[in-house]
Amino acid sequence: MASNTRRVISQALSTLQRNTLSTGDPLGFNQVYWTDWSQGLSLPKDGSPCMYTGRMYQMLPYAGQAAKLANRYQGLLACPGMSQIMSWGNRVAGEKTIRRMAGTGGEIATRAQSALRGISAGLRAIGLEPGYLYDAEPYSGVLLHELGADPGARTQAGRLGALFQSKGVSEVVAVDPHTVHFLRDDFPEVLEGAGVKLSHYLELLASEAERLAPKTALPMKEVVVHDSCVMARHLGIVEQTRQVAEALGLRVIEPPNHGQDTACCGGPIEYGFEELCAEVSLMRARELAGAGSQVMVTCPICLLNLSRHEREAGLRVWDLGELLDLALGGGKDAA
Amino acid sequence: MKLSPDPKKALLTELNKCRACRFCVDVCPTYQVSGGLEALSSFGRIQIIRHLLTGMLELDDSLSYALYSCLQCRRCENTCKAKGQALDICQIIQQARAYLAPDYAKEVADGV
Repeated sequence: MASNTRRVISQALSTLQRNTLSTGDPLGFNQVYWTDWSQGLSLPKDGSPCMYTGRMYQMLPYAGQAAKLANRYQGLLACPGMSQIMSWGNRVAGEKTIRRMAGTGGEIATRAQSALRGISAGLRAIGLEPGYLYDAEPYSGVLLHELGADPGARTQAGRLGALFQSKGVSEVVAVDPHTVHFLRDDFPEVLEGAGVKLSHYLELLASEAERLAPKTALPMKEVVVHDSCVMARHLGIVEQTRQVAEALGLRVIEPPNHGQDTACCGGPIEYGFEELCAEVSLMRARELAGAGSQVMVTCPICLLNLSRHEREAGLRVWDLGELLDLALGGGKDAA
Repeated sequence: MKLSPDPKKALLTELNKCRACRFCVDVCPTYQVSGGLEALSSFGRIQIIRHLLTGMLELDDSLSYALYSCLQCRRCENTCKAKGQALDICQIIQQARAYLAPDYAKEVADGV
């Protein structure tokens, strides 16, 4: 066990809270990185429902590097005063360092962007005209809440509610389960107070699944469905995932531990427990690989953590958004 | 489990529903990969929280590790529900973190 866990947690919490509240970004980035996926899609700013990404997919290449960096220097936190030096270092050079490490973001960035394009294409395919707030879109604050830093999480959620209200947004569709659970179950008063109705994209797509006719055949006939813990157990979204996959012409294979009994990908503790996180995600990756080589996920955190073990476990992990992108052509036709 | 103006009391009330059947332990992913370390299981974590709240234990590095390494995946809650108790185990852990988090963030600010 880490001999300086208290300092690691302190450092993670204070950095996350400071970054989120001062820049609207958990990594403290000032340079806009979260709108690239939307290029060429002509999403209107005032479209409805407003597509809220919470930057969750876009930050994957950077979050992975930030976690690596944090875990690499954990040992230094045992030295007195080092916490403050590291906080100062993060403020001054954090963004540059993480960006340099991430480079162009690699394959995970491509997959994340494809997933978001696919989700917007799916929404258009069922007859909606999703909007997007582009660079005005902040992070929700969900990780602060998960780590117990509720004052900061509440402040950030309140800002989000105020933003939607100021932009005249009355319907929001979010793309990841963590954000939906945070805004719907943990701080419901925020969006209710702003008069905003929140859905997860799968809830909308499943209700009109028959309209998701693929324009392009997918490169696989069947997928092993990995249910996200938050999606299945917190939000109760299980059947909807399968309805959408089947609408795309895929046969669903159920792995051991699926639906309400799904097993975790390990991702939520990556920020400070790299080794434990990797062991949990490898255990799950092997379990999924036993059912089939093409795995479908519906959560950016699952995508990042399970895709790390693709070679080792002999599988390919696809986000459902990526499959929508492939099947529906990225929504560009509809633009 | 309802949020409460008195989190310590709310947490202890919820913790007292646990019958210590330990059926939740086997499905905990961090318990599974740690070679059966009880402190890294759902049941182990709620016992740690109980003793932290009653002052029997003080939060040190190893207990922090146990408390903050919970994935919040709620698989333990499914088992608990199936056994007829339905404790909000992950929320107990999350709220215990919230109860302790202000001190943690302050440590960095004070340069501990």
